[in-house]
Amino acid sequence: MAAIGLECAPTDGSLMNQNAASSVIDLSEIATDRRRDTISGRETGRATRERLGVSEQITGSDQVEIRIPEHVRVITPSFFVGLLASDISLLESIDDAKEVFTLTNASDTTQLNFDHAVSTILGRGSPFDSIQSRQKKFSFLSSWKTKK
Amino acid sequence: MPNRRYFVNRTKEGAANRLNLRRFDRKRRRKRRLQVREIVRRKQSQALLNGLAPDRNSTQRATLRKLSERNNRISLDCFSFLDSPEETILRLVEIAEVDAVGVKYSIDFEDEYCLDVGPYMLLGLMQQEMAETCDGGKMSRPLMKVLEAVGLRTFLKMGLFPINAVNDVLPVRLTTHSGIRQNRLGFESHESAKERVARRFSESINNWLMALRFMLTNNGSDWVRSLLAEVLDNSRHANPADADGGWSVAGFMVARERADGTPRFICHIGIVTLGATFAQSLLNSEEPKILSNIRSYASAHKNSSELYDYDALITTCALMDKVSCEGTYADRDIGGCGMSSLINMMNGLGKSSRSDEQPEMAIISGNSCLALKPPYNQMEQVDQSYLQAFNVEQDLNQPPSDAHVYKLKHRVPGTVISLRFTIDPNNLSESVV
Repeated sequence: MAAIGLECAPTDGSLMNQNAASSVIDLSEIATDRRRDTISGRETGRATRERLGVSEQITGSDQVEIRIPEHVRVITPSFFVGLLASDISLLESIDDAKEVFTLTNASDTTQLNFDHAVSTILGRGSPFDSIQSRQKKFSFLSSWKTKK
Repeated sequence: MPNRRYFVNRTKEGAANRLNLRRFDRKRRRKRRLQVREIVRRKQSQALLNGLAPDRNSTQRATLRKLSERNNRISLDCFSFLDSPEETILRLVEIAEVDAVGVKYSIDFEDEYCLDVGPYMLLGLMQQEMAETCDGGKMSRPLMKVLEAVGLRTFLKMGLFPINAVNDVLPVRLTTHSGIRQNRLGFESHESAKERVARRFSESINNWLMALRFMLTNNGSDWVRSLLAEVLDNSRHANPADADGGWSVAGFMVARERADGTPRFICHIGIVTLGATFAQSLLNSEEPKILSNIRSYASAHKNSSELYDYDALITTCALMDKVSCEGTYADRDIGGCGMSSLINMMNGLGKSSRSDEQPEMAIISGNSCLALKPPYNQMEQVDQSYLQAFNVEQDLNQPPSDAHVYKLKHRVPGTVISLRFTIDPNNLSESVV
């Protein structure tokens, strides 16, 4: 199992289990207003990360539970990206991320949005990947023109 | 008697002022300072007008001549970014120029129906900066109904319309946000304006469907809310200095009769963001990987057609998933997916078997125009992300079609997104699970 914030995470399963730690990110503080049933925005995600001290809280954890207040119906992918991108991007694969981070009280859409955020961070590259080979050709052409 | 008393008081006040000259002088100077402040404020707050028509203060004579040739009337025909973007922006520029002259003029809205809500929203935003020199004009009754229902009549500073209660237009009421951040830390424990609008937007879409005896499921409603919140979140790139640009959202659904007598339920949505354009935001990115990708794409195709330029091609990139002006982590692109979700929603709700009723979207960003019309009105899924390359092969190695991606003669200081689609109850029945 992967661990957050440990760049040299031990691969020995038994050791990991001995040191297994879990942490909780409780989002109820950002939705004290019960009318707030949508949480959105990458900027809000980043601010929440700082406010809740997410970075310190989850370092070394094998399991991170994200508690969502019951009245919140939607959390957008960009919020999750702002909140967790720097941690998730350290993981190897989408499966690792889904194993480490679990949502409680999440609606279907929030769960889908979280999966989308994870696949955005860890998934395959941008649409421009398809033109990588062509890009090399362009750079070759431009250098050739400069030399000429 | 009252007049006399008034006269006596005034005289006393005048005498007091004469006796206390220093105080009077101080008051006069303060009043003058306030006037100067007002003039400066007005000049500073004309960012939209000056952005639309940068030369408007220097071309006053030419504008006056053009206006007098038309008997001080401006005619708005086919006022739609979806149907004639170039002409529509030209008319808006003309209005901005006439405002600088300061003469009385009238605007004739020649369209029988509202063809696109976007230009009316932009005109309303212009009105907030304009002197009130417009003297009325012509407008059809169906158009009045739409403007009244959506809340655009007061925004456009128009007088009362001679219509009764509007029951046949289902609106997404106009919401505007100045873009001034209330909480500079970004941490909000209360519902933000964007989230509130997203909630109301999903409720309005549900109202549209309920009028046709359908309704969104909870998940559907959440999805609509989520996608609009994502799209509005893009507005924060529009003004890097303030970290949040101003935005407006409005829309409506109305029933019209087809030639064969059957009803057609047309939906319009407009989203206006003022500030930096898509191209400016992307080119301001500090991410070398994203910059290198979009620059390579634009450089590769900029000579393929004279109708588009570098900026128009960069704007095309803004539609793609994972392309954003901010953020790569550990060398991974984590751009958003708001635009592709919006296009997918439009195609999901507006699926139609009629060729003349296909969903359409126009994106006017700066002087770039993207026309998402058939055959390029849908996002194509390539690997795990959506893109629209505006060519038959959906290949970014090929140049986009210049009928769908082109540059305009004038520029809008921001971005206008206009959507138009028809909800067909028969097609919706097929989509119901």
